[in-house]
Amino acid sequence: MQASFDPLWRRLLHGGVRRRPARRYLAELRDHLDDLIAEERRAMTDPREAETRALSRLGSFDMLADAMIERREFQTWAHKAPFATYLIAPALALAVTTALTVVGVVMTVKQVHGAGQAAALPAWLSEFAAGMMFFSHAILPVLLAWTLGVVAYRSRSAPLWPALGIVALVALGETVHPTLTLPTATTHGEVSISPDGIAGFAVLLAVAALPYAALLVWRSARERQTG
Amino acid sequence: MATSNPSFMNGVPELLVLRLLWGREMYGYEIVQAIREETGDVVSLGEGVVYPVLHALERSGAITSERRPVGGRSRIYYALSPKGAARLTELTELWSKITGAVQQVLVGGGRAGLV
Repeated sequence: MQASFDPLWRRLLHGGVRRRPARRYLAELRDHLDDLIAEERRAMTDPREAETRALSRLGSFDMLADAMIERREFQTWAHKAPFATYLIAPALALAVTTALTVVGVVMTVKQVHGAGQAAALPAWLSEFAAGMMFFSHAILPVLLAWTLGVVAYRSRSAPLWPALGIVALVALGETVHPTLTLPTATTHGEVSISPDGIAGFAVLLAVAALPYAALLVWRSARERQTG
Repeated sequence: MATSNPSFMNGVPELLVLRLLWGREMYGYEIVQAIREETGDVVSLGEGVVYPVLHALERSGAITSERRPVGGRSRIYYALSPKGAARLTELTELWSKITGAVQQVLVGGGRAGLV
């Protein structure tokens, strides 16, 4: 019989310990336990008793988990600073990427418009600009929300901050909806920002939040099964 | 195994680990057994608790680690780094000052005895 360290692994992740140090900790604890069992077996004949004594010498899972959890250097940023990880960083990433996308599209339009002077802009340019604007206000917030959900799931963070982060991302994406009006032979082009309606927000929020919600439900069911 | 009082143990495992690694390489199990033997079982760690101490010391650059195959098994050996040697000197001086001061109080110092 060899003790299962699964409950300790779960405690460590729930306590915010990063996976890599947690994995190494468990590997060394297993090795240590093997040494203790071998030592106890040399001293007594009953292998079960030897293992029980070895486990007791190793320390309770609570004590072993606390010893690692109390060291902040092994904790994830999601645990140390959930506000920054789930709210500030994704919102900043969305704002910066949206700004870069708009600048990229404007530069492309200026390049093509400048080369053709007063000639009509090619049809692909209009589709390209519309596609990029759609990407920045609809696709990008969803991709960031999915990434946030996976990070939160893997870090075993409490769902409050990740959920707020997903709502904030979608709200930001829907509020800061850039629209590009292409220049014509007689008028200048224009970039404007206009918020979408509540229906768009609701649809986007559902798409953005669904994977994280599904992961949480799946984990909860699995943990109920394994006890 | 002796029980440990956490409020008196702050910094002690770190000091003991650094001292034990002075001039020799050891793996976790060896370190714990050495602490038990060399302190006459007065200072004892929950055995698994030594690893967060080791990992934190390694992260701070005080010790280094190397995985080696020994007798068909793979073990992680720890060694003191120059930074760790400096930290050991610092901690040893601090510990000597504290124990000296506490001892002075315990033997009465300049104050009147207990009534």
